[in-house]
Amino acid sequence: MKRIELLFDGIARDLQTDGTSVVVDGREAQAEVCNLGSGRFSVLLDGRQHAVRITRSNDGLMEAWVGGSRHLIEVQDPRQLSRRKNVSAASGSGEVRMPMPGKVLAVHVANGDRVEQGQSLVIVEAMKMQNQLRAPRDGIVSGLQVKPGDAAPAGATLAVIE
Amino acid sequence: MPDSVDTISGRLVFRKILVANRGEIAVRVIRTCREMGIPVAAVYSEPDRGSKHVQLSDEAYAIGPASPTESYLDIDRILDVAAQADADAVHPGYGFLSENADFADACARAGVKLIGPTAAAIRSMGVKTRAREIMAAANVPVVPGSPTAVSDATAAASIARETGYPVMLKAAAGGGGKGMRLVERPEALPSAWTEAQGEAQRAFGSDEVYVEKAIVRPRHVEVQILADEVGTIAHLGERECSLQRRHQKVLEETPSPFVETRPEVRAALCEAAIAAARATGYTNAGTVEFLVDSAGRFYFLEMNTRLQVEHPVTELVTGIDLVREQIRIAAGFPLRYPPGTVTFRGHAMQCRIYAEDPEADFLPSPGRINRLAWPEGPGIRVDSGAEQGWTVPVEYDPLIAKLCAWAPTRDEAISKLRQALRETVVGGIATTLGFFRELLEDSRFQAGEIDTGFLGRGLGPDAREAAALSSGEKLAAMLAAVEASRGRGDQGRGPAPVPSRWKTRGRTWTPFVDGGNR
Repeated sequence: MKRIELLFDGIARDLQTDGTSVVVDGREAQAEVCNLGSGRFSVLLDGRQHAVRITRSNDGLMEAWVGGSRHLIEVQDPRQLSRRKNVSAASGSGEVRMPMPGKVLAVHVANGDRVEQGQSLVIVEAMKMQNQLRAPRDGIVSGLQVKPGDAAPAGATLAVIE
Repeated sequence: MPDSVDTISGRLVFRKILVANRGEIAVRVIRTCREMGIPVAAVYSEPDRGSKHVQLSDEAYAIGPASPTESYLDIDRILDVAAQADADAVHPGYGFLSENADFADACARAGVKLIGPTAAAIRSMGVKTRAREIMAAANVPVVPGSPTAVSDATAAASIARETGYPVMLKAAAGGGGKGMRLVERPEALPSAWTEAQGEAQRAFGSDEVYVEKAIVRPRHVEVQILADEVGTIAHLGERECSLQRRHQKVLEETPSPFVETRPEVRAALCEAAIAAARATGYTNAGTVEFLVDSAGRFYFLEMNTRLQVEHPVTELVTGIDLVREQIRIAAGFPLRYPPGTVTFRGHAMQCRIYAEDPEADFLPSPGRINRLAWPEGPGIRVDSGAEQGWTVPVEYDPLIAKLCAWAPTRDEAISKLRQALRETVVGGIATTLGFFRELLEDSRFQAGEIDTGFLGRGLGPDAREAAALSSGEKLAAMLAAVEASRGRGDQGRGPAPVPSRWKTRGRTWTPFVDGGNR
């Protein structure tokens, strides 16, 4: 049996399969995966049918649609896993990022200010909605690079809380 | 004789209709125009060149860059296009110029019929303080509060003391929840005042704000009306739109589960809506919104002088095409459905599917839709401006589609929506589909125990649990993902492509003859 590791909605899972049976969480099931093309799959698990659609998100993640909901799945790939780790490590370091492309409406703090976790730092506007960007943790504001009226792309680092 | 033809002259009611909007509502309006045999001119901003509404039109005109003020809100530009296209009527949809009295005036000056009410009616309802005065005079109940805009935070505080807290601060020129703040305690008023003013100024170009008593746990119930230009006004029943987030409607239905069991409340609401329309000399389609408290007392909220986003649910239970009636009314026809002739059948419910991420506080998530599959089957209706391969633009409202279900009862309508959601795929971006999956499982929602604060308090734990995937579904998803990732990232392409005929038959290729049979 071949062991496969994956992330299902960010949670690590593993399964073992030899092509006709699959073992997950210590339980074995007969599995038949039929690739119908164009990202359409019909999966039979011990005779129960599940229709799955596989699509690709705009940030390159694999999306699985089953039972009417969307789930992000990453099948083990050393390069992808390390890239994900870097991203989560970066947000843990206190970076305040632009959640989507938009415009900065107001900046409540300046470099060197001491802020508390949850404190509002910047108000941004995108798609006619205003949103507050808050401090991810207690610390000192640094690297603040924007002023009201600036446009910023998704993912841009607006400030770092050190 | 078709209803789009004038019985006396034998000509089309309008030569051509300019649809001054974009997205799903432009698609919706264009469909009816074409069904009536009336040619359609569409308009588009730069990012909308490839939009569905453009593809459904007979003629399409570029009106400027992405910024709404330089395109869809540019009155001169829109009327230039109307002249260029020789359109004698304009349908404004909702949003943009639909409730702009200056636009209505400009249309009248240009000799173009606006498919909607008169400038005077729009003006009287557009400023909420004026609307309140008119309603109070017509004996339509209004929420206690300041009759006009308040000068400053101190004046607001003194009114709040009279009506009692909580109070609501509202932009006088507002709509859609912008410039609105709920204030629970006196000390929170000054900062809320500043925020409401700032937001009102940015959104509407006017920082006038007024104060109202906030009704505790109200329901939002509104009445659809149709009024012709010879003085007949009919109501098409109510819609309940209590499920809201940040004052934006999320799910709408008709009949209202609250009003349904209280015929006397329904009768009073519909009567008040017709009185409201009569007091403003209203013509065409409109909606009178009310807040209803748990005792069935109701208060006028505002009147929307246009087609509503949630109009499909009314169409589903009445069988009436509201856009067709709007066009007929604008052409001067008397109402086809005078009071008392409208019949109501079953229950209809609409989910607004937005490009927003429920896992990230409903932040907009614009981007390309890599795969799109809408549900099918009896009783299902999808109104959408999206297509597979289309990119949801950053510049506009992130509404992707309105997913509606009709069934004989409310319970059956919920079941139908649940199944419809299972068949829907919007791949590539985050959407609110998963949120609706949970909402439909919430037991209080299923019992119709809703109010405008329902979503703000969060769904019950039962909802998330009932909507969670089974272990089999999870495993199936993982196995499909493993299968798809074999060969690295080519899912969506499917099995080996069929070789091009240019390759297999290149040498013996015979071009098709026009009209030839294959």
